[in-house]
Amino acid sequence: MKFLRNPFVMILFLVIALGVVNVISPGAFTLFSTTVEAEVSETDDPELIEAMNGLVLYSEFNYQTLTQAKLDQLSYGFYLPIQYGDVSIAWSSDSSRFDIASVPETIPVMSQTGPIDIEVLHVQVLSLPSALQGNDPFIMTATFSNELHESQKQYTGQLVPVMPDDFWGGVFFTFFRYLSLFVEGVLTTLLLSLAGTVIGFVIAILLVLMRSIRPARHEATISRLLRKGLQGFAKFYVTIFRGTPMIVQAAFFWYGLGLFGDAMLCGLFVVSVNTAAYIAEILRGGISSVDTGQMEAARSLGLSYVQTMRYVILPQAIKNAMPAIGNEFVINIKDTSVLSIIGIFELFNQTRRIAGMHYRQLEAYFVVALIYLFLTYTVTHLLQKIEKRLDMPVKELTSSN
Amino acid sequence: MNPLLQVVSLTKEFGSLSVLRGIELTIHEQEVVSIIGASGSGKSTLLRCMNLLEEPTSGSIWFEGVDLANEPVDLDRLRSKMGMVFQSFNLFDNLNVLDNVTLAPRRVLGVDKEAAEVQAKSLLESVGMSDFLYQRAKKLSGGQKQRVAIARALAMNPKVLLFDEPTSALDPEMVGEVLEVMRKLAKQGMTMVVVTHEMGFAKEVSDRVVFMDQGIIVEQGPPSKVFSQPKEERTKEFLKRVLNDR
Repeated sequence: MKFLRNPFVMILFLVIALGVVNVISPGAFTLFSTTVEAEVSETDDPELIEAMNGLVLYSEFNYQTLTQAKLDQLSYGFYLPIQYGDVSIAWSSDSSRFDIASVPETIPVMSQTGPIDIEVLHVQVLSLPSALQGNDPFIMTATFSNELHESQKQYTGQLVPVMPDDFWGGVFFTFFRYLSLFVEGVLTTLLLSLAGTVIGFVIAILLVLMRSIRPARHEATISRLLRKGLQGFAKFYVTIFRGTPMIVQAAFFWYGLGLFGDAMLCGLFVVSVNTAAYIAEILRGGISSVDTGQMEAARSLGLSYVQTMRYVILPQAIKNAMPAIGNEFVINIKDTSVLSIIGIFELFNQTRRIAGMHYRQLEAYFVVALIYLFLTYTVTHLLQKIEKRLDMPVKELTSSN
Repeated sequence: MNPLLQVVSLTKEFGSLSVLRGIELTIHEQEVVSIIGASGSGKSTLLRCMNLLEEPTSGSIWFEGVDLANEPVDLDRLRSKMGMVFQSFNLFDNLNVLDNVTLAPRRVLGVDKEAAEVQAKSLLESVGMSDFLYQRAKKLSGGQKQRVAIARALAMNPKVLLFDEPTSALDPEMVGEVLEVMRKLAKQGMTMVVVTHEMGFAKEVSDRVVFMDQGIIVEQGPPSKVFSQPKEERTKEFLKRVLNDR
């Protein structure tokens, strides 16, 4: 297995291995940790309970309310109120990325009775995690107290990395921040294109056999009709599926006919039937490139037409056609991107999703172009090695005599 | 001697071209028949009609009591009893030497793998190819290929062997090894029909020589007669031409 030592091949296998790990135990290899559980210490003081439930935090931007969703995606500063009615609130944080001001300031916020001024502590974000570090969870602890009681509530959130403004920074950020999403897309794309090529190959063999049936010497009318019907079907099939774009086929089967409940299944179906048409033509060429003497020799020995195809002609035809069939696989890696229109999150669709998160199209599509290039280059390289291997003569054994 | 294969008023046309024009030929058991004639005289076509690789236009081919050309017969079964050796060898390129020989016995006769290999090995030994059992057919020389092809045909225990110019595609120094194998077969009593340009072989080994010209059999008889005292003008001319070439 010398070709495994190729760095490209190694990376490809690493990606596949990561994907398998991800499937077996989701989140095992992601760079990003998950949120922490919030805790509220017990109290029966109604005043404290009301304050704990009613307290609102404010963001730096227009003093908007800081919801839990925003706390989980935090990359800028915010304000912490220190008074709720008669309850006073003290704050502390476990994160070193915050600086909680010691001197309160006054900000205007909207309330049910109109704008009011409230006393708050300004929290400044000193640093954000890098794309490599991923989300950084934090806990803010608020201590609510009145003259009688004291109780604590914890606010949880995550500081998220921010995409750098420059191109290369953005590329780096996009790649590492969304690596697991890219890997998911790569795996879906590889699965669709590989399984599609293999299934398409099987269908193609059936098509080729249908098309190349020879009439028997004394052919009955019914078998003649059947033969003509099968030949006609095979020709029709190839014409239809090679003559229409895959994106149209996908939309036709998924949105039009509503075949399959699962977009992934429908996508696999579309790639397979589409590839079958191309491989059928490749195989037909492969068969006609086999010398007619091979067929004559086999028939002269008493092998039937089907036996001759199976044991003599097809093995040679398939071997001749191997490079072209491998090429279909590479083409499928690229062409499965059109399946994004039926909602499969293969590599391209995954990238659209990623690009939408930061509205930074250039970086995302640049990264995905590199990934596609890497995939096609590696697979081409791998196929060449396999072809060379197949071409190697059978190991010579010494005679048993 | 009993007739084994009988060709009766056989004609073959390719479109408007008439290649065989009424052939009558009987092959007897254990007989070696050489068919000679100029290129285009229809010798190969006649041979290929005998096992129906070419479908005759009209006429009959009687083999084992049935008319192959006209009756709905199990052609594969009958073909398996007529071995054929081709000018261009036609060994199966995807298989090694041993598998070339065992394929038909295993798939057509249903012989199990070990038995087929035992038989194949002894056949390959008899044609002097036992050192090449696991070689790809592609890698052999022409003479070696043809010897394997003969072993392959013999593996089906045929009643008759049809040779279609078996030495024409060989380098001169390899002709000898193939003819040697054929001589041995003739001595063992194998029925053989040989289309050939090797006049020496035809003269020495065959029981009967058939001379064809323009789709008909012009003259036939024992080699001593045909070669030394040809009756027909066309035979004389042909023999003069080919023997002077040598």
